[in-house]
Amino acid sequence: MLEVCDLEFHYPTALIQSNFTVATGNSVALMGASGSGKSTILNVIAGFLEPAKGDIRCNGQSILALKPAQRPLTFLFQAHNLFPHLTVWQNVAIGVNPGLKISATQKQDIQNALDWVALPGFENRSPMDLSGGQQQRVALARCLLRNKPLLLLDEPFSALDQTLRNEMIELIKRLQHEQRLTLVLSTHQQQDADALNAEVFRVGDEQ
Amino acid sequence: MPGFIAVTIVALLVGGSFVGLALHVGDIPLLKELTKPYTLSIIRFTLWQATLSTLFSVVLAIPLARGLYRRQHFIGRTLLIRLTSISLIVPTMVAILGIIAVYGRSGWINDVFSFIGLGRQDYLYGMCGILIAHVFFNLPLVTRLLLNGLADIPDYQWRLATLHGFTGKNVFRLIEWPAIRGLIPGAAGIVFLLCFTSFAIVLSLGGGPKSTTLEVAIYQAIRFDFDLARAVALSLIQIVICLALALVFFSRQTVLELRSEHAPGHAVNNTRPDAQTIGSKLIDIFVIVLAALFLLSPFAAVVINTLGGKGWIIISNSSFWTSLQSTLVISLSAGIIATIAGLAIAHLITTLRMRKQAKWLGTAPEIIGMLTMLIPPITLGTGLFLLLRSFTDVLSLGHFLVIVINAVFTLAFTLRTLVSPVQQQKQRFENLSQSLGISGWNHWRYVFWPSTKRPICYALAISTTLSAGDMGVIALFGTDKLSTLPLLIYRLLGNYRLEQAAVVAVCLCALCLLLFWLIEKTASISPRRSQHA
Repeated sequence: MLEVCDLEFHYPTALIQSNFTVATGNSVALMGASGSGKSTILNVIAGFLEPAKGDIRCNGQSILALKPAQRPLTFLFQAHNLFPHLTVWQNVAIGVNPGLKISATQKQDIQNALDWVALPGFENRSPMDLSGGQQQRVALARCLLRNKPLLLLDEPFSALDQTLRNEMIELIKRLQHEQRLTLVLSTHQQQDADALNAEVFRVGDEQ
Repeated sequence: MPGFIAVTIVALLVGGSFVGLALHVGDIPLLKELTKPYTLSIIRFTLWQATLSTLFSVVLAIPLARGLYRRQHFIGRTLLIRLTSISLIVPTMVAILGIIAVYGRSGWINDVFSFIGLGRQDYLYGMCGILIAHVFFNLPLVTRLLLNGLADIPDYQWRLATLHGFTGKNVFRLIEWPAIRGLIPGAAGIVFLLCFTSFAIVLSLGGGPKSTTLEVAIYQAIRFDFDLARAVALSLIQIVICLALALVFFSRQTVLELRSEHAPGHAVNNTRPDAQTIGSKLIDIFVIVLAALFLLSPFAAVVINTLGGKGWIIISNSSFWTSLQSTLVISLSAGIIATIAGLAIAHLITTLRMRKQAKWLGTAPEIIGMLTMLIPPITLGTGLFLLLRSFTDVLSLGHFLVIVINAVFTLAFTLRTLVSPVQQQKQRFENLSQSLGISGWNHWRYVFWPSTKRPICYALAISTTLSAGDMGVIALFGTDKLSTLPLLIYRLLGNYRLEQAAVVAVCLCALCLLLFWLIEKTASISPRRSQHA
């Protein structure tokens, strides 16, 4: 269970607030216009930004003191999830070990993850040769391998067309089902929230 | 039109120098000269010291650039980064003097040695001194280039690194190294060429025939042995090797960009996962403090050497004042010529570019800049020396030749500064001026000068300061009557008058700063208002 309690983040000209709870395995969609602070809230949960007030608890324990990499979560950004100068395989492997020291079983896991996102044989390709949809799938394979209970998605489909969007949604739903993931996504499309059976919280309406 | 004239003059000078060399090729047994053991040992030493200098400069620049980038906030960071570009324009002799004052027999390091009972060591002259000086000049240059590369790392990469918990080692391997490795061949190439053609440093710190480079050997052949055949042979070898090196290094078209002032970096510190560990802090502090000491101590030593008061006696010496005068005349004349020629050529380049006549013209400033590295001043000077020798007493033309050669060599810098401003102002105002019929003096006064005075003054300031600090050309043509402040420093050093040399060095630096400041100031003087304003 993820609890976001009375969270506040101050920008020089704006105040972002949030307060919601998601049960394990469920989904939440943060919705609002661009600039309303959806991404800010995700970044605070992930630990990239520090809140002015409030707490974030995962299964009852506060995660505020943890560094981003130690938090029980992983993050799929809207774009730029991959290092362009590393291969697909290396990009996935940093999710297992950022020193790229990979054991034989882990190697098999990476293989399976790439199979799972339907990109077998892409190991040595450069992300720059991949389409936007393929790049997002590589990133998703890494999310799968990191095996964290919470997945944050920042407008994950906004750069994709309808077909790719549906493909990605299917993959994420399967991932959520298989790993009993809790999802928090930011979007400005109701259909994304509906497709992932997400409870909707509005951001920035009160201002 | 003036552009063609300027290009023609430059071409004539460079061409004339080649003719001067070529006319003598027939006279000399080139192959015999080449295969002399001494020649071979010079070539070997030249290549070897350049290799080591490059290696040290690049390898040390990596942790320094990394530390400067990882630590965005510390006192003196801006100063240190400024210092990385100052070393491009500081007069070579001043730095050499500072290095001798720190590392020489009676220098600071030896003070420490004798204090702890090791006694004074003679280690400076020879390879060691050459390496120290080359690293002193080139470490900042490479650091600056790498720092630009690091600043170009997009923010999202730091976010990914944080998300996945990269350690300092991971960050270096997966983010920083990929960002800088592409820059290293170009940077190393530049440093290698600079060290390969290095003159004043090797002359002052080489300390004997065992540590001589081609440049110095050419100089000695002309000035001391008067062995012109040898000078020609060595010059040709020099040009051939430089050309070959340039082809190897720059065939891949490495872009070398020295971005001006901006101290790179944004608020990456809180998103960098490896900045807060104690280990990384210790390493960065160690590297930065060491680099600051290394880069600042020579300047400090020069200043401290003037404090005793003994050195100031040089001011009462007439040679000081004649050198000062020559320095002023030479640097200002060379600066003005280089700036005017630069403007003319910049005009030519933009006009041709706008007519879309030749694409390669876009790289003209780079090509000219490259030429100045391929044909170092000594070599060009040698060629002209040989050419003019048949007509006149060359040393009587000393002043003139020193000015002209300095102007040719600083042309690369003025062009680099002037081409894009000239192009911009043409694109913005050319049609307007033509439709209003503004031309000639009025065009210059009301359109061109107000919109381009800043880069013009900057170009003039750079070329003047560089010429004031020149030691290569003046060494070749200097006489009892013709001396500049850098040459005076060299002569005083030869007589072990360290304190007097320090005073001259401080005066030279003050002169350079004053010239720079005055010329830059000109750019901010607002134009005289017309009566109706």
